Amino acid sequence: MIRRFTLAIVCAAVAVVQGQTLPSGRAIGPIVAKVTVDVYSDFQCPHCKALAEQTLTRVKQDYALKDKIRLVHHDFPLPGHPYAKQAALFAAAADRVGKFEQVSEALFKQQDTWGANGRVEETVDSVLTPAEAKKVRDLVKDPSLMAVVQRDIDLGTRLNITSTPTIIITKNLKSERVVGSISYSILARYLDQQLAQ
Amino acid sequence: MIRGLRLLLRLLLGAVFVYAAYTKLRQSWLLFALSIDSYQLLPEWAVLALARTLPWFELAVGLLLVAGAWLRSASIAGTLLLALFFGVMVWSYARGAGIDCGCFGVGEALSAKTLARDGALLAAAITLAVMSRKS
Repeated sequence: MIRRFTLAIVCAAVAVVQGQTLPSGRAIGPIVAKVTVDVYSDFQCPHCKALAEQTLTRVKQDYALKDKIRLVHHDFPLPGHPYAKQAALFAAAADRVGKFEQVSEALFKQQDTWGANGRVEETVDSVLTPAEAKKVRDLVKDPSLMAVVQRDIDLGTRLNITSTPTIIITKNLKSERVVGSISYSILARYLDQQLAQ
Repeated sequence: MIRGLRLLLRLLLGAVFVYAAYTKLRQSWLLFALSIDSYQLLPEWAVLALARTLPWFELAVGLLLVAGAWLRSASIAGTLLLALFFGVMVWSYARGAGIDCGCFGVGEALSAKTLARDGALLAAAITLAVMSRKS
């Protein structure tokens, strides 16, 4: 019980900080939303790809963009995935030019390709204009960007996250976590239930 | 000696089943449905049906074991349930699914530790079922 409450407090504190510092790409929906869904994800993880493409895209459309919930992306690159951190950095850099959504979609879509050859930059460039691509390449070298990614990793570690994707659903300072890829329909039922209560 | 061991096993397994049921029933059944869904083994209707009924089945088996009523049937049901859980968990762990165990509600990752625990409980349940057959 105390652990759950602590988890909820940490999530709420992070939400406040992120609401002030993060551009909209990583956090969608009002900061005062009744329900917050925090997703700890790794761009090189196949289950994260499945969750992002089959579930979170629809959650974003049907809930976050309609201001019903707040959906927050957190980077949690796993040590076993050699290019995951680099991908997280590029996504964070793309966020600074307003292209987080496009870049994260491309990273998941072409996960097999860059996951095998390590050419993360090529995937990122494919959805950016040449000017944006240049800016993103410069931004990736910015230490403050690394701090953004590291902050998520540190937070995930503090929350005892060990695998991805991990979804933390918080309502009224009470958090529940679900690990793994889950279907949209059941998650939507759960969110509807939480929003109705 | 045998009677003592049988008493110990049925109380242990009964308590585990009752606790497992309690952890699932005290939270939204849809949260348990999400946990089952993360195994990606069943269609939606089966996930929902299982999430609704499994905790009650666990509770019934647990209470019967603790009470010592219909011991043979309860121990066989418990063994089959644990064998099913163990099989699914081993399969999911082997394919590298980083998911929740779902054993005692949500929030416990599937790991070698959870497999060892479930394996030990399965061994205890098989022993109890065999002992109950002989009685």
